[in-house]
Amino acid sequence: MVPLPEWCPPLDTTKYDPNTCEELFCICKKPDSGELMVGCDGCDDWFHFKCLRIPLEYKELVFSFYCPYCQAGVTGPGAITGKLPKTVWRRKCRVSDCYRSCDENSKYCSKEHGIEYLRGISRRLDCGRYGSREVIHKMTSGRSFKQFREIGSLGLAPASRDLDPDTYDAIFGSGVFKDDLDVKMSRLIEAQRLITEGTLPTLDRYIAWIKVVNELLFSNGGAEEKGDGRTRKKARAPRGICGFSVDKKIPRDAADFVRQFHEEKETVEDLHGVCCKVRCSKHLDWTGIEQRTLQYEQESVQTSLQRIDLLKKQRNEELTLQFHEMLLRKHKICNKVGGGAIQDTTR
Amino acid sequence: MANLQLQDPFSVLKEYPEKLTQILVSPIYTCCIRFSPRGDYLAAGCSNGAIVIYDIDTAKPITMLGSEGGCHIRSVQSLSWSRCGRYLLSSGRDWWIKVWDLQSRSRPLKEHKFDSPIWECHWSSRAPWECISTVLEKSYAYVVDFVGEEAIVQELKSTLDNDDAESLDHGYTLVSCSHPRFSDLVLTGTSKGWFKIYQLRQDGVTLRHCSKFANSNTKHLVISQSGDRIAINSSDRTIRQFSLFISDDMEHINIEIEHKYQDVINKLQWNSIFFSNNSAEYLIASTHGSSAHDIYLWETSSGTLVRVLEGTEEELLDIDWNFYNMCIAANGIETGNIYIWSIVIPPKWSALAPDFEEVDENIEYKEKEDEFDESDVLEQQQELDEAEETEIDLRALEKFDVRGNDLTMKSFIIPIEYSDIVMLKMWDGAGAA
Repeated sequence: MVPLPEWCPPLDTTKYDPNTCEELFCICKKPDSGELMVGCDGCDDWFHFKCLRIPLEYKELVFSFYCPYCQAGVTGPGAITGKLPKTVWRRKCRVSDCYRSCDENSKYCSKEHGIEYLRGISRRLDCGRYGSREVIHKMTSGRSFKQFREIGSLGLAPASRDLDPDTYDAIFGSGVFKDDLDVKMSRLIEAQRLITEGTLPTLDRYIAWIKVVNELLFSNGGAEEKGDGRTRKKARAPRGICGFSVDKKIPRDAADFVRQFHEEKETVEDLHGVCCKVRCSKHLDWTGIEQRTLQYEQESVQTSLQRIDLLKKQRNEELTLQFHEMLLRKHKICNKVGGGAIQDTTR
Repeated sequence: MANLQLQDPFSVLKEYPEKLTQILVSPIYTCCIRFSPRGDYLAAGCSNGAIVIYDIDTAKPITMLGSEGGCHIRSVQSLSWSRCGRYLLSSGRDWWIKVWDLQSRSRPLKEHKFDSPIWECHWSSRAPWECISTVLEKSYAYVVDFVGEEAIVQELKSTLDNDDAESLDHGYTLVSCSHPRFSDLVLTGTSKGWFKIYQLRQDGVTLRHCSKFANSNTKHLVISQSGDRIAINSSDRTIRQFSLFISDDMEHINIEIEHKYQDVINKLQWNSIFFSNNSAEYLIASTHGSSAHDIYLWETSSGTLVRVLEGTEEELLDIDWNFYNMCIAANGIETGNIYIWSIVIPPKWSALAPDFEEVDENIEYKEKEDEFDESDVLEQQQELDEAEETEIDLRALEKFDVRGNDLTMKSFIIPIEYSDIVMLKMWDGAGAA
């Protein structure tokens, strides 16, 4: 069961008026007054167009009609089988104010209306400079049917300055938003260049250097520990000094650094600004953080660039549309007023 | 809530929310949450470094900070809104503290990098661009001033500290908070259970108070809005509540323990604590451990447990309490969802007509002898006239709401970025094509 529409009262099975013995119809339960009615295919009752809120124009379009009760499964075939029927309409003629049904294998009620419909379309092609006849001629001549169908699929024609320099400059000359995007874009590209050419190689070099230093410092130690069964497991995890430094500058040759480190009897915590703690919890995972930061920056520059690209494209589309619309308006005015008025109306 | 006077005064004026009313399902795991000062928005810091801002009215996320980069890349440790609601201060385990301007939030407005992870960072109440930050394995907190182009960082350390440090190890400074009334006082707590009060002045930092309250880590330090009550949550499973007295010249500082809160049976740790507004009549805390999913609420004057806020199915981590919309928010430790408790006001229709009475059942009304008698018509008319003559001020805004919250404080409205919406549409279009 489907609920009834809210304007429809619940089913009333009274067939005759108890006072006048007149036959009653429709959801309003009134006798026939000559008003337009439609017969339900499900319950054989008759219904007013008005009561069911069907526009009177649809009277010729009914194919098979079911009343609200049958459609909701209260009466008719739906109440028995559970399969709810639906009102089926005929297809309407494409001419907007014609409510006759279509001819067989046609989108129009008659040949005359077919011609009228197409005439309406061709009227819309009239764009001022060219009459509709010319436009249709231009669209169809020298094209196969397939090519004709593809007209318009490429989107707007690009705005070209040759068409109308004044309008072009008025629209594209003052593209403040676009300039702003260009500035942003160049800034982003610069930021990306700085990462890929400056920060990232520096960091990579520094990390490599720390690795060498750690190998020099602890490769022997690792071998020694192998003898001891208990520490073997721990030795597998690479031991090393933390190696964090603020500016990521390589202070000196790795071998030199190691020598100096040993000279200081390995007690220093900070040598040339490099953190020398062995298990440093303070700078834990500093390489990971630095690398991820750069990676993230690069990613966001990439998406920002994509974003700006899309924004620019969209802006360009809007402006092109504006350009064409202005051109059209201009030509229309031109046709009406005459050539002399162009200069005044565009400013 | 449009017409507060028509509501039942006893339910409107409830001092704490009781009912779990909203669950914000977050796709990213949240670490910390903070309401905007007026309670319109909720900022959530996530474990991957993202910061999402939710609108409380619609319970939907409205923006993510850092659309053009510059976001944190490790979990967000703390969030702090500026009083005007326009700037958000965030700190992360990626060593950065960042200031976000919500007017243009595609990149951070200002930022500063320390050389180890940040514990927490909050705006100082002294100067508009100043904040206090505590950093991993540092003996002292830092004062960071974002006024200029480059952040100015100053260690929060007095000359007295130097002498002391040689004789006594106070541990690392882990938490801090600003005094709401004496804006140049900063309270800090250390990893060895020391509580200190510093005074920030133009000519330097003075240590005003230093005392030991426990032998363990300080986890949280909160101060009431009135500034005369503090609570310290430490890792010995105890919350200590102190009364704080500061003389106007700051010469005499006296702190005295009022209550200790412990879960005696389960010996639970407390994840997070928070005071209620004004003079802090209530203290709330979320519990550590997978068996407890509640927020405990104590009365601070007597130290008794008055309420347990229930309804979640997971342990709760961070809590925040906004006093404008009277909401408590807490995030779950397993899913990262955000739970919001608020006050549900039952409709009281008789409030619309004060001389009407609500009855449970129909009763036959017997009128009193003189009830509908026409009394002195003239007198009545006079009364009516008088009532009409008193001017009702409809335009002037009220300065305080029923709970004493300052209504003159401006709320900042986060603007919608229309280009974002355009982008989203086009991005979808491009994706489909």
